[in-house]
Amino acid sequence: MSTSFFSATRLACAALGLMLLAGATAHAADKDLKLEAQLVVGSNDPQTKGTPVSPQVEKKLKRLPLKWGSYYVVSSQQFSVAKDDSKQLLLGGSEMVVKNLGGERVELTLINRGKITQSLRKDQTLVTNVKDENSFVVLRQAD
Amino acid sequence: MKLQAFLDGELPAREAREILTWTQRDREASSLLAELRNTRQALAKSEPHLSLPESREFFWSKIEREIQRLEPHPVAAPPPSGFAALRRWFFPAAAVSALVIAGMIAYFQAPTAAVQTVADADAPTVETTLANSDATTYRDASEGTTLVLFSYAVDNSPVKNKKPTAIN
Amino acid sequence: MSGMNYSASADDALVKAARQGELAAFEELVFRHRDQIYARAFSMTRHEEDAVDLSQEAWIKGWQRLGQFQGDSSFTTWMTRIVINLCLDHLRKQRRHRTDSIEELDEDSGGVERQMPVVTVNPTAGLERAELRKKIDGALGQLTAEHHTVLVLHEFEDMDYKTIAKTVGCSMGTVMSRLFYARRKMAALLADVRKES
Repeated sequence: MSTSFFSATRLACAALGLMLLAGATAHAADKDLKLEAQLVVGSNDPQTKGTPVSPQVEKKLKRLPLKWGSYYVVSSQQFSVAKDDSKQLLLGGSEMVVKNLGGERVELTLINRGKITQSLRKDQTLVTNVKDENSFVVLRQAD
Repeated sequence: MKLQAFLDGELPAREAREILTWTQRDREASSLLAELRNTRQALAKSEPHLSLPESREFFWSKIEREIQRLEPHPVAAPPPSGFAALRRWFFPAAAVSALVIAGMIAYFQAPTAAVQTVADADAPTVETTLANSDATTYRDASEGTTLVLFSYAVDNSPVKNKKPTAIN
Repeated sequence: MSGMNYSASADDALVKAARQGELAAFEELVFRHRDQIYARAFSMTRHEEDAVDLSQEAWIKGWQRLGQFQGDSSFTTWMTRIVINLCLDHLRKQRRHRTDSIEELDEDSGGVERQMPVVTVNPTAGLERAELRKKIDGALGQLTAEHHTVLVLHEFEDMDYKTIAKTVGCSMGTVMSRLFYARRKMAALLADVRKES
């Protein structure tokens, strides 16, 4: 008898804890997304002048099947987007719109190019090309 | 070719002694043996040193992509035995709370796609705007990076959306 | 992911970690030995692009077969065997599509090398190591696939005749005659190079 009572209490406590956790997670998924969009250019010319991308971004870019040996930041913007809201950006002459779909998912629309819908958790990065063959937008959650 | 076999230590002892005696008596055999020995020594010292003509990252990215394409999804390692006690709490609780969480999600979120696997949730959906344009995706799972490359033809008239090509 | 410092770990520790699924440990092994495996592939195929592709394929096979690595040889020796076998398969496929030249057929039958005059002066004496390597590489490039294969396997992989025959899939007699021809041809090529320089 005492065993079954004890089990029921454990069950209830665990369920309550998990419900609170679920609530917190759901809330986190609906909060504003703080993002960073960078326009970067790739180069194989050692004489290129510019601000190199951060080592973290460099590591990611160098693992991609792109032919550039170095990457430099042309422009960078940090911004917040609420759930179901959009933010229009102009990066280096390229127009784009970033929409927060909730659940850490974003929709990146490059005007006159296309649209990408992608999860963008803190450990994820989205890279896409823009008008020149060596220009890329790097989108990720801001630190 | 017996000279060569002698040089390479491939002859039985008796035959090797016979060849050695022969080279000591025969000048032509001795010259040929010297030539073979010189060539062997030159090769032994001088294997060409070559470097892979691709960057470390690029070379690895191709290997990694192929490994991930070929491998089945990893099976989770069995939990350590110390976790057994927690399981008595966790599993029945998880069953109850899963129902509650599912209800909350259904209530708060718009019904969109069905439940997705982790891999599907991470895969991008790509739509292209222009005619004769295409998109190629590449995913580096270990760094969490997705690359989408749009390619464009000259004609810019709008057209229906095209499905992207995944490299991996 | 473990807290292992891969770059400071020995090969056998990395192999052990890789067998447990740590891809980053395997990446470190690739980083360390990629040049060596590529160099073997290039010495067998004498074609840069093929060598890159074959060495890549060897690493993928290495990952898949890690469970079979017993540790009775070094990891690089094991990987080298994998790439050699891939190169041999590749060369066999190429050979099926190639028309053998009369010279190559004669080389195989063992007639040509007997006509070459003996090179009496050591053609590589006095050469700097880097220069010698370059000359060897150039001379190797002038041998047919069959000849530089047996030469590479014997001189650089220290395989005996029997093992080469088994690896390549030919008789010991063929191995011996190809090796003999390859060495004599190398001596002649190196002597010519020496004369020119």
